[in-house]
Amino acid sequence: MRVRIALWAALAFGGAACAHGRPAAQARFLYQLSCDARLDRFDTVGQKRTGTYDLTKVTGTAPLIPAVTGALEVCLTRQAVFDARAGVFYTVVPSQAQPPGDGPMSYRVLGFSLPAVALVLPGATAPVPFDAPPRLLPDPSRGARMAGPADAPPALSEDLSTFAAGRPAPANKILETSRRRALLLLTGEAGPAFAVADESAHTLVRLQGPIATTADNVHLVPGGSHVLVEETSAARPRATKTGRVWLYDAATGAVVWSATAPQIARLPFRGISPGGKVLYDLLDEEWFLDLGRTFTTDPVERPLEPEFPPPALFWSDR
Amino acid sequence: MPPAAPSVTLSYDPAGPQFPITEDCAMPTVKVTATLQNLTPTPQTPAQYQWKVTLKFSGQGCVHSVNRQIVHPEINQTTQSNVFTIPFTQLRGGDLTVTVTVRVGNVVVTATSENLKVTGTNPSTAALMREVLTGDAFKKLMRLESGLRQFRSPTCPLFSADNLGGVGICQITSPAPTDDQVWSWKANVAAGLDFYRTKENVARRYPRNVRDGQTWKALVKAYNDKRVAQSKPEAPLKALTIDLPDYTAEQLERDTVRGYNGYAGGLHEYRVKVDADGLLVVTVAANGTSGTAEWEAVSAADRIAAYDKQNIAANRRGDPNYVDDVYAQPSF
Repeated sequence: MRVRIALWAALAFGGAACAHGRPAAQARFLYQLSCDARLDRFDTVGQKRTGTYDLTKVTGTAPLIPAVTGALEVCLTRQAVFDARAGVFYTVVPSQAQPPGDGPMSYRVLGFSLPAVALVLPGATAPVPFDAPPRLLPDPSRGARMAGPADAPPALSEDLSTFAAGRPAPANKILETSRRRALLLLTGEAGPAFAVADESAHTLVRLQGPIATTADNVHLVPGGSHVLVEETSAARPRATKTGRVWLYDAATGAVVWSATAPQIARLPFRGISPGGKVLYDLLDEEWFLDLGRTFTTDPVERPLEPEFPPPALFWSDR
Repeated sequence: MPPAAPSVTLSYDPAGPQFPITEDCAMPTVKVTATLQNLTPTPQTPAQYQWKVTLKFSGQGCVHSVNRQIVHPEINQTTQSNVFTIPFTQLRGGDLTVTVTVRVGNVVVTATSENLKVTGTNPSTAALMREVLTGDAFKKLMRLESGLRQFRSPTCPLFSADNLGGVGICQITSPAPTDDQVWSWKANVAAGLDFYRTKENVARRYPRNVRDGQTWKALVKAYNDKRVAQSKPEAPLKALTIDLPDYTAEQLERDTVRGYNGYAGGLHEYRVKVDADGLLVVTVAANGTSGTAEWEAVSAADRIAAYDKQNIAANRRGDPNYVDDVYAQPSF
């Protein structure tokens, strides 16, 4: 079984105990957890930020999240796993705010209830090599836990040998997955080429191109039925977004919708809600792009998080 | 006509009211003389002088001090002599208050001097050259941080404009500067150098950290997957063993300087170079079985874009241009 890091951890477990069982309306509130221990709450219906919380201030008299002075060098709150049944989200915090000169870092899992944002689980610390920060996995008994040696490592590429009989399997890199669909960068191509592999149907659908974008500007929607592509004007690492997006149908590879807005170019993409709202946000400025359709509540996952990842998102009905 | 009331007055050598800490970081020698008026001790009723000295810094009037409070231990001493040299035990500055209470038989008189100050002295370049025996990078860094000033004015340490409590020549910020590091430029420089060396260790280890990390392994795998997939059946290519070199001396120094300002967002001065698709850039060796990846400097624009993506608040980003700004400074 493939194990991946939860980027979107909504309904990791709990609720109807079915990853895609809830209607999108029950995922009205989007929570964004940034590395500086800041939690933002967005109402996707009202399309505005409705709360900002500093988690360093809610862990009691003996702070469990280290204080930072100056530059933020270490991610204070890595990943988020949400237990919808308990109304608790979990994250991983380090024991110190500066990278060690040598040796491991200690991390622990903390849990916070919603909507109160109160500490409910101060987990024990465990040393982890600094160059391999821990992965947070849902756990039915404890809510969440850090991955251990017995957990399978995340798959980095899709084995497509059985997808297209008689043809060579294209080299690829998994960018994101959701509900047994994987968004792939086809690495053997001359230019940027993307495809969606359906692991259930064993089909591989290429997004029709050419596509002027880079791999970090291509996003799978919850459930994997569509792919949102943000156009860029130049190649990485100096790629800049133009403000135009296309929505591709993952079943056909064709564009089904597009939009242009200056906010798309100016603000970083954060995620797509089951209700079809794309969150663009930078610090205190948020903006929503309405895709005009709804998706399932399946989590969207990335196989490998960088040591200092972008904000983690999850959604809730509270 | 009634007899004049007995009293005591205080005078100082040097006269004050400001007593500077020396350039060599020694407390000033302050000799206080209590002079009695209308009161004459005798061998049967000698004078007893009780001295009380306080020295406090409250940050008032000093910009960005964020109300830093520093107190020298109170000095209480009794002498038979009317001359008292203040026995400071710590290097501190601030408001100096001297009180003497003189007892002659049943007569007690007292005097207090206020509005005295122990002040700071910035080091000369010559003093810095004697104390700082490092390469140019650290010297330039000091100049960028503070203009080589420990004190904004004689009465005010140079606190950092970001209101994070940083102070002095090296703008020691984290860990929070000690009281010594606020008032002694030598202690400040020593702490700055310790911090610099700590960051040098982090920078030296960084290439190994990257090589051991999951991201590097994923990059190598993706590169080799592409290499093998693109090879022709008549000339199949095998996966390469790919090396990522340690930093050169110049890279190590620049990444250390970056660390001094903070590896905001986990970004070092250099990153592994990748192509437009995010795939590793590799120079293949002549033997065709191995290759070498390379480091590339992260530009200020890319740094800011990364901070935006990571949603890092403005006061947690450090200075994207810090390294270039340091190297633009003159040494000493």
